[in-house]
Amino acid sequence: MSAAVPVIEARDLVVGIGNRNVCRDLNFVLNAGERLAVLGQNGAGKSTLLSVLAGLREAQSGQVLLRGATYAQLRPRKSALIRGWLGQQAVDTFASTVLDAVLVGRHPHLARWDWESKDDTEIARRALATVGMGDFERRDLRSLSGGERQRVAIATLLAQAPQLYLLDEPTTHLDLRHQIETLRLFESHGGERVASIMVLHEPGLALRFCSRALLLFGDGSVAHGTCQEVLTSGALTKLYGYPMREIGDGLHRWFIPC
Amino acid sequence: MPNRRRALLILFGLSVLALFGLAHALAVGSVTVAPAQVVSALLGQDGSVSAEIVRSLRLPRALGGFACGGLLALAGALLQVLLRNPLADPYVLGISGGAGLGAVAAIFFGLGAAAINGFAFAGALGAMATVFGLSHGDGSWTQTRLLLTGVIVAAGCGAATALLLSIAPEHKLHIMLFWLMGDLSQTNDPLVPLSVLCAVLFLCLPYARELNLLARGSESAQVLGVAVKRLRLGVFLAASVATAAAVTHAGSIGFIGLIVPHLIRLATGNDQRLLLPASALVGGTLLMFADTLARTVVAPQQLPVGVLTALIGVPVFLFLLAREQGTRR
Repeated sequence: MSAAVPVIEARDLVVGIGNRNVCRDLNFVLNAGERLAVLGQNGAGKSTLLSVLAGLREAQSGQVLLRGATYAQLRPRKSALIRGWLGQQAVDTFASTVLDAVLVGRHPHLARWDWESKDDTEIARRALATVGMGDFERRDLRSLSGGERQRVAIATLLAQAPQLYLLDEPTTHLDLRHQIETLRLFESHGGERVASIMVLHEPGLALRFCSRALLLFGDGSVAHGTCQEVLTSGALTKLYGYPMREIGDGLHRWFIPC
Repeated sequence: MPNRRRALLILFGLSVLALFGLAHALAVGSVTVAPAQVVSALLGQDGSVSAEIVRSLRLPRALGGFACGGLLALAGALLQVLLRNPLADPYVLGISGGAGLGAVAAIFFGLGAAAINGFAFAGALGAMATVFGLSHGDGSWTQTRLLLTGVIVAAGCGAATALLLSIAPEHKLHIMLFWLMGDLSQTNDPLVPLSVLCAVLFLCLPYARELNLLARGSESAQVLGVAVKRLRLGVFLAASVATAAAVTHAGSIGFIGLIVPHLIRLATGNDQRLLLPASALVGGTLLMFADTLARTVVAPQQLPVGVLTALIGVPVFLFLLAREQGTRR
């Protein structure tokens, strides 16, 4: 797998929910080191598109290629070594320690009869420390707050160590400090070797942490380009159906609803 | 998460316990047989009456009980992972009810033992297919819908069974009732359930770590490299066959599938690599022990073992249900 092959590529992708169009003939290529923000109204199909890209859902037509291969060609285990996915909050039915929850991220790296080794435990502990949950490893998942649970899910993803992170609202339940720290983590983690696609609700964060943006207008039309091009108050006003105004301090640009 | 060594150690301990359970089942009863005589009877060097009792009555009955208990506990553990619901159990989901209806119908029509077993097997699979088919809906099994469908199917089977009971001639009633209450006394060859137990266990064990992931959610399991659709179908089939085999052999015995995996989960955590074999061992030992009790408490009268397990199971189930609500915010 040479580095020249894009981490993920969408070819003529058509995605819909029921009879609603999410995107028509979407084409894009994402290389290592790039981060793509997906923005849109509630119900525009951001999560649906992300689960198609993650191989969890079939597209109506078109192809998703991970390192040049389709999910069917890769089979589940190989694709798990390439892409990771952070879903919206899961329900935990069974008791489990935080460390055990993070260790499942090592699954694709283990052979059928392997048990998690000391190295795997070490990787899981480091991942927990990275999200600031190092002291929680013996706690029961079900006793955590929403934000803590979200950080454990992120640690699981880090333990999986994929090349592509597909993040569905990675900042949900997180306070401001942890929002910035989490996005900074995906910016710095793996550096130029990994790529991310993240669903965000805050255009300012997209501008700050992503190189490119994809706007889903909810009627099948999209806007796609670098954040500088795509994220303008005009486009966002159309996107959210609410007037948006840009403000800036010379360092960062933010958009506020008027 | 236990490591491999600890898991093997626990399984070894449980195997020893199972052997003790077997020895107990062979030694006690209307005729008490000394341990030394049990051993010599098993080795076939003893021609006495009590040796004959041990060999041809108690041994097949104990082994059959062990196999059925193991199968039910294993099926419960698998269903709990499949449905991500700690309250799932073959009995609660109406599968035993389906088997009971099948068996009672076969007895009603005066069919032979083989047909009774066949009907029971078909009834179990039919009930399972109905429950899962109706509650599958949008591709995921929602907990409430599944449990409700199970309860309704069980009620329907119960009503149909009651109808047959009320119009059945006197001489068939006793056989029907004993079958319904779960009974190991007219045990058939224990070889069938024992081999099903081994087969299901050895088919599931290679997938145990994938089951751990499935228990945490099917989407995250898929993303971490589990072929979820295939695995679910496999687990469903394995649990169905295990339940049907157990119910066919011993009638409807409730709550083993619920209590055993739950206790093991409390003691050792929810790692299927340990939970599945441990459930089989503990479930088997428990049912073997309960059956020994059933034939000794009011000897020479025999109690149906299903009544005993239900008497233990119902309060435990209610306790778990209450606690489950307590932990949910």
